[in-house]
Amino acid sequence: MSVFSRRTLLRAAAASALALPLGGLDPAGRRALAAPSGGARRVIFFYFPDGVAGPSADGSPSLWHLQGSERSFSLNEQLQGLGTLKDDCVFLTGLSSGPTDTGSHPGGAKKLLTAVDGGNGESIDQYLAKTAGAGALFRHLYLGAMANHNSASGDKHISYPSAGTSATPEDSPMRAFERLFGKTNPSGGGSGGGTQDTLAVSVIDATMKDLEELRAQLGNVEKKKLELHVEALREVERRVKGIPGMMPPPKATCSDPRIDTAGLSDAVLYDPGNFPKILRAQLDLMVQAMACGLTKVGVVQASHHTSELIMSRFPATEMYDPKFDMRSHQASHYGPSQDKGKREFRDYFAQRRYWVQQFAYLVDQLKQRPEGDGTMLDYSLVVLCSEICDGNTHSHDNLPFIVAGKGGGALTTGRLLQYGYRRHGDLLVSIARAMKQDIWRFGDSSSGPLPGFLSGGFSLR
Amino acid sequence: MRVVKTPAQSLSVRGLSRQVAVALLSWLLGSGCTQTTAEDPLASDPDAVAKGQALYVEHCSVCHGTSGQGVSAPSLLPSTQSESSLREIIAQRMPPGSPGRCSGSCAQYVTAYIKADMKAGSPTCGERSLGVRRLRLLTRKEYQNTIMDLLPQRSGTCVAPVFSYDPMGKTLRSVHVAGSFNNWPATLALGGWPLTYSATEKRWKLERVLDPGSYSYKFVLDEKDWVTDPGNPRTMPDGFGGQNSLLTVTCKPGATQLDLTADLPPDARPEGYGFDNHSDGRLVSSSHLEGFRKGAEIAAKQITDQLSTVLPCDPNGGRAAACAEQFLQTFGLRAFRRPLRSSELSRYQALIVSQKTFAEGISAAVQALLTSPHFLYRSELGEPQPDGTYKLTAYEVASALSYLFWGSMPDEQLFAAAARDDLRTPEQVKEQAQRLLSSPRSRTVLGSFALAYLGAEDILTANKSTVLYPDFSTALRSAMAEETQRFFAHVALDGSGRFEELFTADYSFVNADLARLYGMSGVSASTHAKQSYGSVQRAGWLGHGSVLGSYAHSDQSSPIRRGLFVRRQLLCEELPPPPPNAGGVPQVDPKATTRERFRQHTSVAFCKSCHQYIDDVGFGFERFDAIGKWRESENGQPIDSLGDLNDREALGSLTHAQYGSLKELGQLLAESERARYCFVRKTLRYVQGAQEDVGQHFCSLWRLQNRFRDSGHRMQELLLAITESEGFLLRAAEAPTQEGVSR
Repeated sequence: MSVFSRRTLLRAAAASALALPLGGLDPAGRRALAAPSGGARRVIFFYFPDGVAGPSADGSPSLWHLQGSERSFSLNEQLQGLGTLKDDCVFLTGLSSGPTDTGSHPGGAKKLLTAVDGGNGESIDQYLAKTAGAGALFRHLYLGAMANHNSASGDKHISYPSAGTSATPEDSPMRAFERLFGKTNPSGGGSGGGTQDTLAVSVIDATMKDLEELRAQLGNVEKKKLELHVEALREVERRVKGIPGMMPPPKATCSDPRIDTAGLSDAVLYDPGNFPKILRAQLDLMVQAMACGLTKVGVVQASHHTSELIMSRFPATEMYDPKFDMRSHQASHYGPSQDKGKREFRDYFAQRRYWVQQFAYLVDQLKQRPEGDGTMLDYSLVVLCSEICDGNTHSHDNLPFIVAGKGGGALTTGRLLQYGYRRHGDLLVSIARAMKQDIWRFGDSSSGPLPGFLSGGFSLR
Repeated sequence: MRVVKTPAQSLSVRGLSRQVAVALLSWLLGSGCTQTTAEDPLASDPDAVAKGQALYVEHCSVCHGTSGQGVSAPSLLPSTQSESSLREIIAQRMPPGSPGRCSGSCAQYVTAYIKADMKAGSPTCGERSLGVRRLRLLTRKEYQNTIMDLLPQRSGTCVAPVFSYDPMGKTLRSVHVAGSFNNWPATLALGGWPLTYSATEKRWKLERVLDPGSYSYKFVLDEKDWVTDPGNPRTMPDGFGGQNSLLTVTCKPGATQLDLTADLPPDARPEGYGFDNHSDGRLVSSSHLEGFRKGAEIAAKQITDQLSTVLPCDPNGGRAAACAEQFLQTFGLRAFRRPLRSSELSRYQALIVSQKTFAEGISAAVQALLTSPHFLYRSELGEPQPDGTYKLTAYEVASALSYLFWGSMPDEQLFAAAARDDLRTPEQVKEQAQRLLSSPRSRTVLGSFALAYLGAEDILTANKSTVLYPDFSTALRSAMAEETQRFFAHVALDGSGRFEELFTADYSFVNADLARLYGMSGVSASTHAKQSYGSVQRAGWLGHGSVLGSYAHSDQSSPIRRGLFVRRQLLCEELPPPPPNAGGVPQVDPKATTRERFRQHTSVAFCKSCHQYIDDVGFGFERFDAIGKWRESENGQPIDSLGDLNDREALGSLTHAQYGSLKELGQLLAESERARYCFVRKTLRYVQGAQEDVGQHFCSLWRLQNRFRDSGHRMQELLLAITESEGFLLRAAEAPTQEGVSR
């Protein structure tokens, strides 16, 4: 029996989570060997702000939601960035976050992952972190790109570990990298149970004892606060102590993460010209962390609702205009009609296309990496979401959800599922079930899993 | 106990037209259709009507009018609804945008007020309104300050060493210092550092900045007699059979401090709260803990690097256990801000002696102490009292005071007072509060409070157009923030101390960059100094770049944001959220002024019902662009900067107060009861680390308002009044239920 350091463990975790690449094999070709099964091993929620070009105020049809039948439909201009990934996605229409705070960005953001009317609840990602993701070194990975800009917090963040209190995303790819993979020499061996680790373990033991003693003196509200503290410390403890008895792992796919965080120091994190680079680094980090088996539940939050992000400063994009500041929220209020002759709408449309491209990049990265008989995407769920539907009408109906990945056989992709009206909590329940959590309700508004969403043959056992 | 009847029958409202449904619903509610049983707290509460008024003004008056006369929503008087039906309507359907905001006791109080024909008498307020016993996680700033204070010879800001020699009445021609830092010069001519004689202190003194390190030195009297420093007990052999004085410098003034918070997430703030110290809104995640661990590691290294100066004892020769205990009794007390309990003492002692070396043991103990919840949270749990309340211990009071005024741990005097149990009475607390407030250390905290009060911290990160404002640099951002911080501390501590001066001051604190932006002449220093605005069209803090720039977009001013700033930040007024399909910021029109572009807001009746409270206020700021620079015209058009601070004292009161300049607006706000009330509310919020509730905290607020008024609205007096109040020393048992006003 031996104890391994965090970095050694990291490689061990990788080995247990993923099959090793055999080299030279085309993942797509290999996937044909066997259909994935066993349910989703991981889930990523990808959030972007201020909705989409949906049904407009003057009654024109949505430019986001697809037309056609379940198996026969084609992408529209707004979703074009998905390209051939269309067949890896399930497109959803008719999902609503319900009647409370309709017309409100914050109201929508609070309900988005909680599915609680009024928004006062735990979010699905946090629920999954402490259930499906509980054993991981990082129960939950919450990465942001300018998501804390201008002291944003409270209802600007979508992940709620506790009813009414949101978590804070990590906006710095450099810090996230360091936390996940260690500061230097990410591929090198750890300190191997040296002095620092022994000392760290005894320090954590001492702290844990203090926490237990303090908890005994508290009323229920404060007790709950310390319980989250204890859970967080247990997580850190796992990272420091490692898991006794684990065999030394062979070199795995995750041992040499190459993520471009160059130049992304704190001083430039909120310069909109850097945004694309920051978001790209965070997406890469998320995929890498998942590939290494460090975490099973991730949230990537791009900016935040009512975003002042100047998207016209994104270099080398169709939005780029150094002479004119077009902000996300400003563009979203494009007026009653979807008129591309009007600057706001033209930019809003281009901005939404950009978000779709980023989602496509994330999905594609998972698809590039082998896992089992197929790719990581086969065992993943990636959920695209925003807090409102159309940016101008602020509707909480027909929210722009897209789910990518086969979720380990839980999902059959390449489909368009049109629900007349269902509460989006039903989607969250379905996702939890795909992650093998045996629940039938989530939040206070779901009535059960979305009919026809999960594969007929999929079972939790 | 009031029991509402169960419905005789149930009706489906589906299929009915909306209007009919609503009418039916009102009727059903009116006839007691909903099954509820509710405690009636009003019978025993003589202040119910007054509380109802406060809540009404807060949540209802914007639509129903301050006297219930009806504005955009129907008139409420004469009230024909029964009490129970009124209560149900309020609890379940009001306000229309977000029903449920005023349920439970809130709905009952408001009902009481309406049923009293909306006439509230003077409250009696005999009741206590106590905060709940809590753990308060240190903010990032508090964490940084506290560790800096814990580390040897770094008391928050680094102080340069002062050489000091007492001649004991002897007359000397010169005293100079010679040492390893200046190559031991025997005379002044050879480079000796001269001390100067202070007649008042009757001592020779020299302050000198030195690089961190250890130095040996002697004083040289009249350039001939070499003596050790009689005021410094630390000496080492000089190699000639005598002794040199020994000085260890651990920090350099002005040098970058240790950054202990680099890996800590930002302090989360619930929406609308504004400050960084919300006690329930900041939950500890594993990211926090990694950050805390790193901070503790840095601190432990600082301590073990100079272990001999830190240790109060010698651990060698079998004295390790005793020395460990001694260390814990001193350092541990300061880290936990209270003496360690005997069980803690023995556990931490065991941790020290079980490590390979004593130094490693100290390192482990320091890291454990600094990641312990007893360090990371300020305890406001108190001790149970016979009446069911909890009274803060003397040590908890010491921390409450030091974090309030200094943003850091208690100093030696506070610890000593706590040890003597001298922090039990309001008088004792006030005496300490006054001492802390008068120290220069309170200025930084007051400055941060002011910036958060205004919501003007955004100036540090807000993106601005690089085309329009190429000179808007990082240095200028910081200069703007510093202006507001210095200004507030000055008004509170050095100026009149009056709230009104914040709005009416004809001066500010500017450096050369800011003066250039503001068009003030004769300022060339890079550091901030007090300067008269002179002919410049600014007044008080409303004229600060931090405010004007934070409440603007990247490339244009924003009457909306500035109007909302006055309503929300300065008057504590809540407006309903914008309706769906509100339309966004009108596009920049090369020919029009901002005011012209926003005209739709106030020309369309639907928009006007809310925007009159926003835009009409914000238009008065139009002479200032998106970074706070004065402008005569916009796009070649003259600027109309006439503003209207309508409904100043309460939304829905249908009053008007026009103004043509920030000076006039400042005057209006300086004289506003509502602005003063808002200051009391937000100050209490800051002190308590929790959102105030105008119903629940009604009596605290009422008493503080009276104290504030009686002092002539002196801000120091308000802070002292809060520390003297019962609520500073006492806590209630458990958080109230979710009933009542929720945010």
